[in-house]
Amino acid sequence: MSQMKQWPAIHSACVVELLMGLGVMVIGAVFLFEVHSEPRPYGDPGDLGSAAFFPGLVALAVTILGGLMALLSWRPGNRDSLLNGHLGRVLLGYALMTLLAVSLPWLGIWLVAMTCVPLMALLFGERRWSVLLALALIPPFMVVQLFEGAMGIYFPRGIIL
Amino acid sequence: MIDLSILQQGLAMLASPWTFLALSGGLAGGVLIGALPGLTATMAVAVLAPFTFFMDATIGIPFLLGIYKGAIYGGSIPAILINTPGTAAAAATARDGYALTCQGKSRKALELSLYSSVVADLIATLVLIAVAIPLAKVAMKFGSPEFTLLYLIALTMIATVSGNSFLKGLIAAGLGLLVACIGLDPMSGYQRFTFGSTDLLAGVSLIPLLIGMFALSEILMQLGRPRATSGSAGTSVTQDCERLRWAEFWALRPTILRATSLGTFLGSLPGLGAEIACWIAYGVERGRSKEPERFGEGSTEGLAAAEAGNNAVVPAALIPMTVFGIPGDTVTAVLIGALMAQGMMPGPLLVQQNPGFLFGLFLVLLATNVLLLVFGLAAIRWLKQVSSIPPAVMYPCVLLLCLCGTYSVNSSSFDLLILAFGGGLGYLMRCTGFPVAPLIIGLLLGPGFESALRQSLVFSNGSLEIFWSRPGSLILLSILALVVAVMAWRGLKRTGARSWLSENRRATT
Repeated sequence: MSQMKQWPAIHSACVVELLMGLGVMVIGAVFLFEVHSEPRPYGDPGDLGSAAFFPGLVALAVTILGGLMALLSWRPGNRDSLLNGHLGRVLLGYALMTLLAVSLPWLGIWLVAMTCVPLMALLFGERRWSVLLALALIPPFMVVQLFEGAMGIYFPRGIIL
Repeated sequence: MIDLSILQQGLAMLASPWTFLALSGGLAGGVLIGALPGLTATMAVAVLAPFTFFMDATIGIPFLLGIYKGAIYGGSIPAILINTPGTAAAAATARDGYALTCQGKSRKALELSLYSSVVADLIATLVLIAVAIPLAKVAMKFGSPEFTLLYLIALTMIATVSGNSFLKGLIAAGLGLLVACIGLDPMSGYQRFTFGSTDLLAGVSLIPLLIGMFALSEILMQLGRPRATSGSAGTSVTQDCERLRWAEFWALRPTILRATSLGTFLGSLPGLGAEIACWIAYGVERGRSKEPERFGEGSTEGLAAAEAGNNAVVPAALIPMTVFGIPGDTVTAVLIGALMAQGMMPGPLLVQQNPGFLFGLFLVLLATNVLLLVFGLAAIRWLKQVSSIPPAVMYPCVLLLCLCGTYSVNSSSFDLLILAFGGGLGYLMRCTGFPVAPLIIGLLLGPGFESALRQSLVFSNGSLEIFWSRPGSLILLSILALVVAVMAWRGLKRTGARSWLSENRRATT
């Protein structure tokens, strides 16, 4: 009965390991393909002096190791995969971080900073509007002043401000 | 014979009020950051490294060293007071430190932790000063075969010790080497894997990737944790007045010396950070103790061993960095990035080209010990409240610092993309049991490793004999063989233990 209960967890860990192994293989294969494509972009991978030698060697090793990982993913034993917890919240947080990072040159530092801090606080579970308002004003002001005022590094102002 | 100009340069660096100010600021900031649960020393140094690019190296590098040392010490404060290690390196400290707090001896625990840290740090710094220059002189005689083997040893060790799976460690190191291939070929100047992007010509920017992989991934990890446990403080215990007596501290000197020796040795090996050293020092001391049952129940020996073990790692990790240009741990990887941004090449060249700066750095490290004592005593009094800053306030501010810090490196929006990519990759790796350190260190060592390997093979017309035909390379090859043998033995032992465990489990069921 307990084995039945453990099955989905073990099974999903195996799948994650397999996917990671395959992912590593794909990365290695992409680099291998690039090195060996015709005409040879970086020279002959077999030539010790060429720029293709080292990446070819490392890409081959990574592809083999990825394959080995995929093969060993069904081996019984402890799994290191921890893809659990609040995955939705993590994905939302990551999407927000990426969006803000990408949009900094267009939206400008003030808008990005004043949006990023309270939105992240919201994701971390902060619900008091007074705290969110303070977070939207104080940290952006302090950080931007630190960089621009004290260090002379200027950020883009964006299209809005 | 000692060159007087080197001494003069070093002393001038130490005497500079700006260096002193940067060191003090770094140390105070480090203790503060270390005391915040969830903010690691690596994260602190990575996030604050861009600030130093606009400073002189004699100011910027002491600032980062201050943060590193301060954060490793600062982690022990919440570990002792609220049973929440500020950094992973203080995890062993929490066991006996918090038990002492529960017994109403928090002041004593904090003082013991501070004094053990300062003594361990001082001894390890003296070891660094004693061995760095002679070892660097040996390293200057190394040719490309020796450096190839040295890089291989470092990568193998890092892959072996930084995670639970050797295979995953190797894959991470391989991926780091692949990422290092992006950009211009170090020997011929050929463009590789740039896919027509001019932003990739200089390769993948190290600092944005570091900030992404360490800081952003940590924020995502914290975001994924259930709210009740994400950085929540344990039961707070009021501080009392029982102080550490000199006789008690003096009686602990064998413990502190043993833990310091262990921490110094482990720190000087690439890949073993303070996180591992504290547990090993704690475990060894427990094995030697006449009262092992007291460990975890408020043993002063346990607390002193854990703190001396983790703090001795800090100066020791600088040994491979200054001697060979190989990072001893993830923080020194960031320090290497900061030194390179200042136009300095860590390794034998640093000793050869900037001896005055290196001597000054050694003096600064010694001065840090005195300052750590001062800031530590102040922190014991004032830093209790800092540990209770809620994650909902702390992490968004860290994110803002990450964004601004990354943009400030090159004023490049492409670096922000690398930051986001690094954050996602770091999170994925941490969740799936891939160690992050081998990737970063592979990325750092990649160009040097490639140049050394290709030079050796071109020189020997493709013959591998060059790697054992010279005495230096033969010694290094033997060390590599030893590392691989130890790793295989460890793997077999672990498999044996695992099958024994599963057999026992089956028998119990």
